[in-house]
Amino acid sequence: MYLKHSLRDPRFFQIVFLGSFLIFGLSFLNWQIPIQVITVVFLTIAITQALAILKYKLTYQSILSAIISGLGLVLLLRANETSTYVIAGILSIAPKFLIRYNGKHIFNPVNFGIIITILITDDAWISPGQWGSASTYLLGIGIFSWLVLTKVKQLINGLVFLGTLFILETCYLNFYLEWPIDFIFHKFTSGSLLLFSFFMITDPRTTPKHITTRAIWASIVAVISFYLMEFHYLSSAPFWVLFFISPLTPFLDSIHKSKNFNWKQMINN
Amino acid sequence: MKKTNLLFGALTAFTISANAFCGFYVAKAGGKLFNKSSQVILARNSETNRNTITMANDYQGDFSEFAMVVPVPVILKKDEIKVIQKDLFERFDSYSAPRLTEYFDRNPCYTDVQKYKALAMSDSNFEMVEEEASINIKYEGVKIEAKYEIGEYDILILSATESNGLKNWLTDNDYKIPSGADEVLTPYIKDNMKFFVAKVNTERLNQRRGNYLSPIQISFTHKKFMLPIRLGMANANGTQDLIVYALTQNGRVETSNYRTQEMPSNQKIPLFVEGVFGDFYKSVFSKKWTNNKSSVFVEYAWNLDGKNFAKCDPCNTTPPASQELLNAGVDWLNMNQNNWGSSYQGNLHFTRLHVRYDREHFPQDLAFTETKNKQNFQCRYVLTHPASISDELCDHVLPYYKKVQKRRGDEMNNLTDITWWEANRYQAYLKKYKTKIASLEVQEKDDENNLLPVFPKGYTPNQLLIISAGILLILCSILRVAFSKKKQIYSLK
Repeated sequence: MYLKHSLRDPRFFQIVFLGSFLIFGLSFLNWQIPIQVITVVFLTIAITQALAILKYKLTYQSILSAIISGLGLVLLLRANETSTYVIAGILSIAPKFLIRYNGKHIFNPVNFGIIITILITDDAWISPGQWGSASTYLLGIGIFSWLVLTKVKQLINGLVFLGTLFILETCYLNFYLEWPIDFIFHKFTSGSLLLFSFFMITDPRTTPKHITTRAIWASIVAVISFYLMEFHYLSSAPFWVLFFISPLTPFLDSIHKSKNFNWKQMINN
Repeated sequence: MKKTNLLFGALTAFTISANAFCGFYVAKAGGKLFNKSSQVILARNSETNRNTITMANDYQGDFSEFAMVVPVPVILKKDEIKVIQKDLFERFDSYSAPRLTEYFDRNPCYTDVQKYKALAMSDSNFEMVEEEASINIKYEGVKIEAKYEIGEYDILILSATESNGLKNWLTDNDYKIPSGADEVLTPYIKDNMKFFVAKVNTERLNQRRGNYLSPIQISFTHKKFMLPIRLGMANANGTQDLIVYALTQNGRVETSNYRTQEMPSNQKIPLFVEGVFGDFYKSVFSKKWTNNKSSVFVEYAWNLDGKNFAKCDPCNTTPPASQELLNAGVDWLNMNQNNWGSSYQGNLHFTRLHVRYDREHFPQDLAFTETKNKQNFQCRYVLTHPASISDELCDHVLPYYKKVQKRRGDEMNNLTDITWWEANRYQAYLKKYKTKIASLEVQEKDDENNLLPVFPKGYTPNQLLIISAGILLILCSILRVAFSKKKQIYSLK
């Protein structure tokens, strides 16, 4: 009964999918992530989350969110020193409890952890090319995210983000600059971009509550990302845009009021 | 001697870090191995966005027919174009090429003497530039923004508003532009790129010594950190190889729109590779590329910070000197002169990337990103020479031979894993120690036989059994006869 109940939690699927991406990267894409890095990230995250559970009297199921953050960090962040991963781990969990507005945390935990670690440590980076580009990614991540995200009705964020970006890129690169169409396909089958679209921008806790504001919000992220990628050659633009746009969420929420998202309620429903 | 001593060479070979290297450099596989290959040095100052791109020409045909067209993001000024001496590429290539290192096992019974090989280096300086005033001529929408004479080259910087005009201009001026070039000329023109075009002036070439084309170096300040490879693919049949030497401040350079991965390295390989290391590495690259055709491969990455003393380990050749780095466009280091020569202070990372590209797998130009990755990496393959043992009577020899035999098996497995080479063609390599082990095992059994000194060497246990049984029977018969004789004697009495 308990297991059946847990399986209804989309976070469980998300862990399975992100975990399988990690295994795929390690075994087929020759990622050089030492086992001690993975261990350190999960230990840091578990300890930080456990402290938060004790202090704020949370349910133990909140550890699922922490595991997702851990997988996100291992999948996206790269650093020379193991200590940098410790900093990133703490920064991915602590702000959930410390930086809050109106009963809701403002920043996407993994995004916050990655960006702040890059800014303060001078030792961390994102590898936008680490997945390469393959049409199967589009299919695979599409199916996975459909299974998870239709349940939390956040697919709209990813779809609006990707859709807006696709329209802008196609208009600019294909219609205006006249690059052949496989130029665009190469861009939109990039594993990093798809992972961002379906697993970072879709976090139900840190995106605006109302569906219309969420769509507007995702398209703003896409427009700014497009501008930075094409005119300032910043390949990791979406991560930076998401970080700097996150404080806008409470403002957008105040325009369109809707109930706060809660994993527990969602499962019970 | 204990087993741990026997394994000393082998273990260090596997667990070494950059600080604890104890093998010796023996051979390298440089960029010239690959047909249709070009080499580019990219120096990028991330604070000022200053890019310096140096392109080597390995053009083999008639020099008067040589022409190159490179899209550049800005109109280059006269002092932003240079020709430099080509030995800079040779230096960077030999410094960063995949390398073969060798270890020597200790004789398990006593210490053997190690051997090693050493090398030499060359130096470089550069020659300069000539310039003419820029002329503006209209030609079917094409504008000549600038015209320079630099080294043996006549150089023009063109801007264009439509690809047909540019194509016609280039064709009419004897630049052989391939038929498929339209596909890329338009995007470059619309992206406001300019075109750097160069032809060889044979008169000036003849005034210079040496029958080769000098590398051309261009510098410009722009946010773009990329290499335009698409124009070169327009008419290319099959694949082309490109080796990029990137010099940056913070860390390793990766491509942001293609996967960047490391080549297989630190593998123990059989001794017979030594004579054919070039072919071996070609096969390693070919296999890796076949399985990852849209990837860019790291062949070398090293932290060359002024304060880092281990600027290579093992060294194919001496690390780039401060003047060479300056020639390559590294403008952010503080150069010092002292009694021991020149040195530098500041951050520097050297990355060598190898790309094998074609139209199908590389639809976009190479876009680079500079990471903070300071991890050193080199394509290094390890040979382990067994000890030569003259006296095989020592107890440690058989276990040592077994170890060598197992290692040779591993080396063959590595070889077949990373290259297309087939193990069954190299059976003799495995057989050598198999035979030695077999003969030693026989000897050991003989030694056991020596416990019964009555029996001479060369008998197998079965023979021994038969002989023993025979002797026993004879003894029994003698006793029996003796006994029965006594009986008879008694009975006679």
